[in-house]
Amino acid sequence: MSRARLLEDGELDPPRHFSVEEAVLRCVDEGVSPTTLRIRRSRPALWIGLYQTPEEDVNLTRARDLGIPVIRRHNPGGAVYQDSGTLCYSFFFPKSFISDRWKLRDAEELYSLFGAAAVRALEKFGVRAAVSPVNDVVVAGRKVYGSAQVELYSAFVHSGTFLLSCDLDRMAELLAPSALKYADRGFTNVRDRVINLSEAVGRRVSTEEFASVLVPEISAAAGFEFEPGTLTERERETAEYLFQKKYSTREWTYREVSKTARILSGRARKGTVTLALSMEGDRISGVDLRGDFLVPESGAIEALGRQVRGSTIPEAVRIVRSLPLPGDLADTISRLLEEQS
Amino acid sequence: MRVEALIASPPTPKCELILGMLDEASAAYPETLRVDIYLAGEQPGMTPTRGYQSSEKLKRVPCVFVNGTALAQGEVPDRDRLMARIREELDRGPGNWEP
Repeated sequence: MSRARLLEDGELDPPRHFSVEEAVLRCVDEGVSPTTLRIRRSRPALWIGLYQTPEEDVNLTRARDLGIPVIRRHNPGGAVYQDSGTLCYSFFFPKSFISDRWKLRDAEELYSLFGAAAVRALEKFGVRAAVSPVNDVVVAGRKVYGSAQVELYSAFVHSGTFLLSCDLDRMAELLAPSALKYADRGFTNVRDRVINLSEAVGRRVSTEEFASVLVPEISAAAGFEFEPGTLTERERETAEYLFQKKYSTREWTYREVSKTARILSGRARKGTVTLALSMEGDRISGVDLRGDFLVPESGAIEALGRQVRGSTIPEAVRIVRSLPLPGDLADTISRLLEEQS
Repeated sequence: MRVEALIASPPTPKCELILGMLDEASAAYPETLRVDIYLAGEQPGMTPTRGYQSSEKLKRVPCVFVNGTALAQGEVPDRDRLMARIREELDRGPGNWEP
């Protein structure tokens, strides 16, 4: 059996938790991290899917009152509430494994592969569980496990969450799913739809106890023997970068500022000008000017990039006009900038 | 004509490769090509083409759309294939370009 890393980094802080999650994915894509099973826990938090809107999918007022943070995940799916009674795992691997190692037709079949492992782990506790296509496992018709997956270039991660002894009342008051989603399934609220393993078993099942049963089942399903390991230096650096740039920022979760990135080229008399422009709202957050034009004073190009950052388009045009650039080059850059407004 | 790309936020080194290709494409067809970059999970500041919108949530990172049609998903596109597709779509004329 091939070997893979078992990672229990214990990162409970939601933004850092997801920074590590994406860092491992990126490093697997770069070929510098091994196939990894990460056992995950989190402080109480609301995790929303990549494409969700916090205002629509969670009760923000209640979350604020309770001091429960909301964070956008890197993968799609619905909003979930996490606390010390939930246990998650993520299995990171090269995407080629789907066809080459597991002989699956497509990534969708991974839900069945790992869903079956989840069922076997739950059944070790004496409950009857069943896969509920596509990505859930149910006990007595109520969801006890959900999964999601995402790929990034050559890397893939399949993740699952088990409800062991989660505060379901708190979950019910914090999640705000559309009534329609539940109405067509015959449920009236979140509490009717989900179940803790502890409730099904009739005793408290800790995350540690469940993890000790789950890991061998995933090992059998995936065909890997897991050996405990730690984050690599590269993963730590990447996680810190993602924490600073992404997961610690309010903009990432709430998407309050629209972001625009556009590449446009125009013809100047002595060459082609390519302008890569990034905007946050109505402000320029970055500009990169490239092309085969000739500029007598090369410092003017660097000054342009530096000076227009944080400015609006009209302000940037004025800055371009004030720099010692050949007239037709300044005209072309100005025109490209003005096309953005 | 529009070319759109969905890349990771913040971009990975492979995303930078794609951006480099799109730079090259833009420079090859100045005044004609408009390249919009969407960052996964971020609120886009412009309206994508209908073709791009219709495959929303099914898209993988990265993906590149030329004139509203997917060219590559989940991998860095082949440069020659990208340039050939752009040429093909340009040859079809502005009447066939997605707004």
